[in-house]
Amino acid sequence: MTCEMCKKAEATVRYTEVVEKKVVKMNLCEECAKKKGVSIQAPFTIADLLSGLADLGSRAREDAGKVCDGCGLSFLDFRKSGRLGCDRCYTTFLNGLHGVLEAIHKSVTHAGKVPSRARGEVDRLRLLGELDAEMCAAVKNEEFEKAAALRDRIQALKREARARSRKERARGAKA
Amino acid sequence: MGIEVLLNREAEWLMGSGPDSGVVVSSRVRLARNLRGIPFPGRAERDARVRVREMAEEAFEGSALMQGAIAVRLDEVGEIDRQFLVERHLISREHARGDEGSALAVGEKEIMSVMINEEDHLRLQALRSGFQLGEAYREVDALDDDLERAMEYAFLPTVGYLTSCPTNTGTGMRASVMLHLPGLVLANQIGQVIQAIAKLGLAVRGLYGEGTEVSGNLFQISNQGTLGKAERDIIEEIEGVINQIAEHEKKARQALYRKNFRALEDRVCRAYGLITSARIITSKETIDLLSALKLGLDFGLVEIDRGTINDLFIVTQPAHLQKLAGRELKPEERDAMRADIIRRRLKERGQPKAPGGGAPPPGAAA
Repeated sequence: MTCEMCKKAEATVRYTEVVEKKVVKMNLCEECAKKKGVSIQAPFTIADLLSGLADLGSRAREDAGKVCDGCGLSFLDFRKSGRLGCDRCYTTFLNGLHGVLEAIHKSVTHAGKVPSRARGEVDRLRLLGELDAEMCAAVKNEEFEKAAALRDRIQALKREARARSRKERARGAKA
Repeated sequence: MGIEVLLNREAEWLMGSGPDSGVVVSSRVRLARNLRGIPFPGRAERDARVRVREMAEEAFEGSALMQGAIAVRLDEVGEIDRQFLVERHLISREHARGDEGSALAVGEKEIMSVMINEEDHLRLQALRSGFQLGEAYREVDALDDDLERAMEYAFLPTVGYLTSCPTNTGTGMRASVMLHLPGLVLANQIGQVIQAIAKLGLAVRGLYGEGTEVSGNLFQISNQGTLGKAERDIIEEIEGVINQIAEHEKKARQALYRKNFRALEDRVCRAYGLITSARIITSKETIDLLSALKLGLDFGLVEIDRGTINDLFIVTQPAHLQKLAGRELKPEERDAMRADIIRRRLKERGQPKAPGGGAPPPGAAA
């Protein structure tokens, strides 16, 4: 359908106006609708957001050539469909997703429910964050002995976590 | 037990009971969940989809909340049955395509339900009548606790529950309420209210969610963001906004009553006259007239059980009529049957209080 005003562009807006008690209905293109004073807010889609990938920063562009080893989804597929293929996609396309999540939710950090199986890990990460902050504060205050002790504790925690995830991966490969 | 049971059983959310039910029709909370290490439904092979369904069904057995649930495999039922489930708000249009592995489980009184292999492996839902968002969240959260004991969810401590669409990542929670806002529509204030709601980061939609038209003065309002806030905080925010909208709606109705009682009464009584006399009626006309009756009910202008009106919104839809008839119906046959069902149900369960016009109540302008 072509626009009833300019008779050129494709009509995408149904315009209804009341003129001297008569209802006038017209099919208009976006440009002509704007001239009539209609403000158009295009529905927001993930695909739109992703097509503006360059705006999401250079970290996002790093993901452009990647393919998820969990489900074979490429970043290009994700850009087209706006849908991820599996949980692994979240780690594969972490950089690109960061900008997408930030744009949609104005946040990138989960603050809600944690499944009981993941509670240990979440607590560990939270503890690591706290220790890290404490260590920085100690360095700033030139309490180097305290800072060193904290550093050792942080490293030990990280070593434990790595060993655990190796074990888990091995278990996952067997299953 | 099959789908047929649902046809003759009243759903809790349609009873019109809960708090603030004059304005808030129903409250719903939905959680999106996926299983670890299995491609999301849109990218999964047939076998993986079927495996997810089997794992979910097994997990339901360990949950008291899903005892006596009705299980429906969407690839094994016909087109009308699937449409019927969409009309009851139990599955989405997307889910109604019915690919293999797609299934639905519906609990007692249709309060709890789970869509299996929709866009995500699991979509848990609690649906309640009236303004009961907090209660709906408690219930769906409890079901989620039951299911996570049996299955390992896809979750990262950083971004939370992992979902197929990044718009759901984090809590995976969508909380929504269905509002009946004839006062704001008649007072021409609805546009401003919708704009204000959008500014607060909430979405306003029609009766059937995303991309659907608003009809019968019914609006669905839900949260947009799912990341960065805890579930309870999101629910509280929505509750705050809904309380304000409900206040505005009540004020608009009171103004209507004071300044324009005769026109209001005319609208309600005409709607009653039409809907109880019509022999042929379309869905669109039905929804508009039912909306006017609902408004009349809130003003005490008609005496009809609220549940009957809510139920008529649902059973007059195309697939419901065809299920009731037990066969496929042409559109003109549906319009006739719709008129018959409405007349019969209203005769059984209600009558106008002041047909033909009563004296205006004290304080109202004639």
